[in-house]
Amino acid sequence: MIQTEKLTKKYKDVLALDSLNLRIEPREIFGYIGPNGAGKTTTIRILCGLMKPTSGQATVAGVDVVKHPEKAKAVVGYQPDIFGVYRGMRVWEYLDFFGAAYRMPAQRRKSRVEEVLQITGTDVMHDYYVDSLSRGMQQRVGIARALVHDPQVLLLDEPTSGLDPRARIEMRQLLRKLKEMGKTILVSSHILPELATICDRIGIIEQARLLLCDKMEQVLKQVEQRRLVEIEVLDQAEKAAAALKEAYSADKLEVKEIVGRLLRVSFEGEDIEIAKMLKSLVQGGYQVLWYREEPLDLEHVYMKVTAEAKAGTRRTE
Amino acid sequence: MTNPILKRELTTALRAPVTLALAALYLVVLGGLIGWMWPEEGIFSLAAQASRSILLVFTVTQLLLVILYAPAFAAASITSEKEQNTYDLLFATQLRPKDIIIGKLCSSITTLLMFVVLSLPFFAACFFLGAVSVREAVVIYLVATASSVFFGLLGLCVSAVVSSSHTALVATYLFILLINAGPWVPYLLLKNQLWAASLIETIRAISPVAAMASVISPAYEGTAAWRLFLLFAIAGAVVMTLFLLTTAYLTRGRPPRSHGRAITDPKELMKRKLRFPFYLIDPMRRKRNIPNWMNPIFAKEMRSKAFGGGIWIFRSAYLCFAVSMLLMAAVAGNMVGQTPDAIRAVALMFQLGLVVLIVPSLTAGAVTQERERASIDLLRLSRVRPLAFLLGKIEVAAVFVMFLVVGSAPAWYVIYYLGTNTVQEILVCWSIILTTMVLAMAAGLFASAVSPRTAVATAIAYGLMFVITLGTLLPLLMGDQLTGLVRDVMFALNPFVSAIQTLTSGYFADVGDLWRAHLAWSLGLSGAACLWTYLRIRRMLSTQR
Repeated sequence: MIQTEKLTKKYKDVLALDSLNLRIEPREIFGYIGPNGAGKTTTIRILCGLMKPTSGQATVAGVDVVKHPEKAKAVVGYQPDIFGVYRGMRVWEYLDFFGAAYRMPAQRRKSRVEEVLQITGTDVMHDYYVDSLSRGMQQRVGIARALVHDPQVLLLDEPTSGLDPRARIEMRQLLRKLKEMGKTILVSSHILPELATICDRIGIIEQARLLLCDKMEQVLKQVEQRRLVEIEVLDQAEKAAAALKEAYSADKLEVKEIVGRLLRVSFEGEDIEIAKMLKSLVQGGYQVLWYREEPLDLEHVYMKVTAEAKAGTRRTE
Repeated sequence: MTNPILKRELTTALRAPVTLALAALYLVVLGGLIGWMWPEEGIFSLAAQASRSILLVFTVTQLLLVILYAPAFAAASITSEKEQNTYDLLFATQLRPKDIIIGKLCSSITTLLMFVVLSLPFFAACFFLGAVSVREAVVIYLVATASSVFFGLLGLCVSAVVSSSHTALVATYLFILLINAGPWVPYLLLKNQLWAASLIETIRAISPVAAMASVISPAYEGTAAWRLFLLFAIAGAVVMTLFLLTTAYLTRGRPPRSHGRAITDPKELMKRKLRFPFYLIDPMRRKRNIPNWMNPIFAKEMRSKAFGGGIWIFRSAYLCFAVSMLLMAAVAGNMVGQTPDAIRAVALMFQLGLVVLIVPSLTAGAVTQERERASIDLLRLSRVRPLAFLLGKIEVAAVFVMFLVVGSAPAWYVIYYLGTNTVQEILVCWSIILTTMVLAMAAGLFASAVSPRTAVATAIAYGLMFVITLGTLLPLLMGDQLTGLVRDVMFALNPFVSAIQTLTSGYFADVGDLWRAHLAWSLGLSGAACLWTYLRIRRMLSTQR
């Protein structure tokens, strides 16, 4: 649905986007992560036809956005980070205006405005003045506006910034609902745990280069080959750690720390090998109370990938 | 400089490129005038008459520039804080409302006084000509200082009560016109009435232009005029300072705007219906989608700007109507004596003045407001074409203007009633008013297309219109120092001169027919400005490179 090939953008001497290769499948929620100034907004603006790239190709829903930016506008719904509302206009009028600006017939607009208000859960605000709404409400109306011409692709730039926890949860639910409706969504955000829960795939961009792009599980595996395991024994934690070190080489297993009766172990291997390790502890006379694998989170991945990129030890996609 | 607001405002104002540009323009205009008018034959003695001319042109120009700059530095002072949502932040600090207002007040006035001081080197040149005594020099600078303080305070007062910089600028310019030109209306209407002579002089002294003229030409203006003006300015400054302080205390912690709601209660509905004709423009009443044939930009502007809360447009039309009726009453009461020229000139100036003062503001925010609201990207994404964008903005301004023109139409009945003008003359005047409207709209659009902010665009638009309407009157002050061609072109550019020449018999009789040249110049300049605006909008709405 979205594809870029060696997409590059330069602002005078500043490289904003460096040979970006990206592929987003239909009905996918793609999380686009990166620090401020990494190139997220530049990518989004090129994809929706607002900006021309310096070089490279980009297609959205089969439309070449470089050659035919006007056609791209019809298939893309874009919500910028900061977007304008007009004073003295009510929510339905605001949506009706943008429908008319997309040259939708009045009859179709009438029903479509009601539809998008329903979808985004803003139907109760139908008659509110759009400039009087709270930030969270305006974000929802903004998504309703992006949906009004029924685009196949939604490009959302920081849709959750400035929202309270409830509004963020509601926004996540809304994005899932849109995915179920068949929309392809590219969403950029700084709030990583949120993206982790809703995105099918993520891409991490820093200093204009895409460092990593894959499914969430694959990304986690790529970034951290070793698994972090916590084991609590009834007693003799020190001895249990020594026994593990003796049984496995440092490449395979490393005891990270011992906190009271708890061992934190970094282990490389499949599930069966973890089971064998636990069995060996039990057979060695250590009484294992419980075991758990610590899940890797997106924040950890993000920090690690960007640190590697800064150190120059990571290759780009 | 212990007041943090004063320190910040002064630093920001003096660093701003627009301040430097305005200072440069100020110096170029004053320096250019002195250089141009400097007598070629001798300096000390024989040049006395020319010296007084230079002094008059210099002081009036300096005064007008300072007055016109006042809104740029004062009118957006508080509204910009409101627009950036920093006004409440100021009140959340340990600063007292008094500190905030005094900081704003002192910074605006200091910047304006800087312009007064900047003119001193040029003014010193007048001493070489022996044109001015020390006493006159002191009084001239007293009047200029009082004017800058008075109009600076006026801008701040307006800024304190309205919510947008654009509205504040427009309202301040209207007040400036009212205070500068308004006091001359009784003089024009009643100058032949002996019983009103003293009253006319007192009222006229409120205008700083009259006060300045009284210093340089005591024979023309009563010498008491500048004293009266200084008293008026001091009293006004005290009242406005008290008003500002009171407003600051009253407006802190104001609740945010309510959401609005659908009205279902029949009693409430009836109450709103009874507010006719405002019910016609009640936003809560609107139910219909934008029709397919209508330009969506026009519809949006009408809904969000005009009828989204613009009861003021109806009130302006009422006001125009009331003033027109007053003019009619003056004619009917035979207050103009034997010569009807004065009443015709006032009626014409009233309608043209409205056009010059209101119309530029209607289009000055056309492009800048979209950029300030960050809605320009949303429009770029839509299928709105640059021409539709431009036409939508022009159409909505034309609707506003129509209200004003219709409201002031009874003034034309006055001209008809006087019975000395042919239909052709009246039609020529109408075409001059029409082209001035087009020119004023084009000036606003042009300013909006080249400015980063609405406040700057509004100031530029008014600047352009003041150059066209006041700057072109220079031949009146400079007498024979201009060539005939330059004088004719300047007069032809001025809509007031062209219209008065057409409608009256005594004024500007020594120059040829101006109205044809005026129409050509106005339409040509408007076309160029609109073309430039269109190209800018097309560039803005296209894909960025």
